[in-house]
Amino acid sequence: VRVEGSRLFNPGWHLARDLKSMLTVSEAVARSALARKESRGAHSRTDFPKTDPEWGRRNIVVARMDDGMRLSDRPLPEPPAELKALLREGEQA
Amino acid sequence: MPEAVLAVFRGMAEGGAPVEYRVPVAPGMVVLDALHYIQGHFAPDLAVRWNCKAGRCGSCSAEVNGRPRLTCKARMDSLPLDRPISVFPMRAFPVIRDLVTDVAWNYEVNRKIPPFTPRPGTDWKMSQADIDRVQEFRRCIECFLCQDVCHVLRDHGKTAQFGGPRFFVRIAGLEMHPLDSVSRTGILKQELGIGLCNITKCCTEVCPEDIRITDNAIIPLKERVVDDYYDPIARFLRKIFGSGKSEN
Repeated sequence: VRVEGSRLFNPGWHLARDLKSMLTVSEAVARSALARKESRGAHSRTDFPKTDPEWGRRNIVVARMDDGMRLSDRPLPEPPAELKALLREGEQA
Repeated sequence: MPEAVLAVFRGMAEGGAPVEYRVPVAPGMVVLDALHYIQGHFAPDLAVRWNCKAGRCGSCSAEVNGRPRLTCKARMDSLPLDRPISVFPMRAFPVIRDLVTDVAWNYEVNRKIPPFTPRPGTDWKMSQADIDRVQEFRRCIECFLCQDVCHVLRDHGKTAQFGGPRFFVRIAGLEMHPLDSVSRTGILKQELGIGLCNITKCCTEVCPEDIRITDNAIIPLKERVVDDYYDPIARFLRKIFGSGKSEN
């Protein structure tokens, strides 16, 4: 990756600096999306078009290991009390 | 696909020159899209300030074929393609690089304006007619195109004596607010030099939010300055009865 011009207000410079991190994040997003065998919000799969309540209780955690990325499940943390109250209100409405 | 040639200013504070780029024109394309195409294909270091691409953030101001415009609202199909489309940075402000200018002076002017100041113990009830009147001024997205086009700033460089249309719009919104209690006519007359405006209406013409800057903001403020400083009868009556607003 190469950048032309000076460092002053150079969007190409920022893109070059960000590129490696953006590729890492893209890989994590793609791997997690493959693992999540359901559709939910903006995550939409034609092979699994329905929302699965089981996936609503889990988060996917991506960790960097020596040999690449490792995906694991973690139970969804308890939401704060005030948020829970709001969610209950939403379900009733 | 039809092609357009864009002559985009490339350079720094020390100087620069337009560089021509050929860009394919897609339906619905705006000048900002063409600039992004140039960034993606020919010049990744082309400096352009932009955020929303929807005419709401006021970042992508430039001069397209000599007219101050938001590049995100300047449609390619509204421009003649038989000659190069010139894209230059706003001339009234110092260039940082390419299309990016230093607009910091505007924020310095802004700090001189006393903010909204309600009376202590204000009853927050307002009539809808009063709200409607100031709502127009609050549409401003601070793109500074009016500042760029204003000849007092652009051609005469009166940045030390003049505030510019943007800040007359802000002051109009405060002065006409039904619950505000401060008078800004002193600042308008002395520090922001509203008398230097000779109502050529260029600011109104370039405003992407269609704020009627001259008619609805500047002229009423000029009238207020006249009332406060040049009307002998009003001055006499104020001496006897007081002005109602505190002088700032």
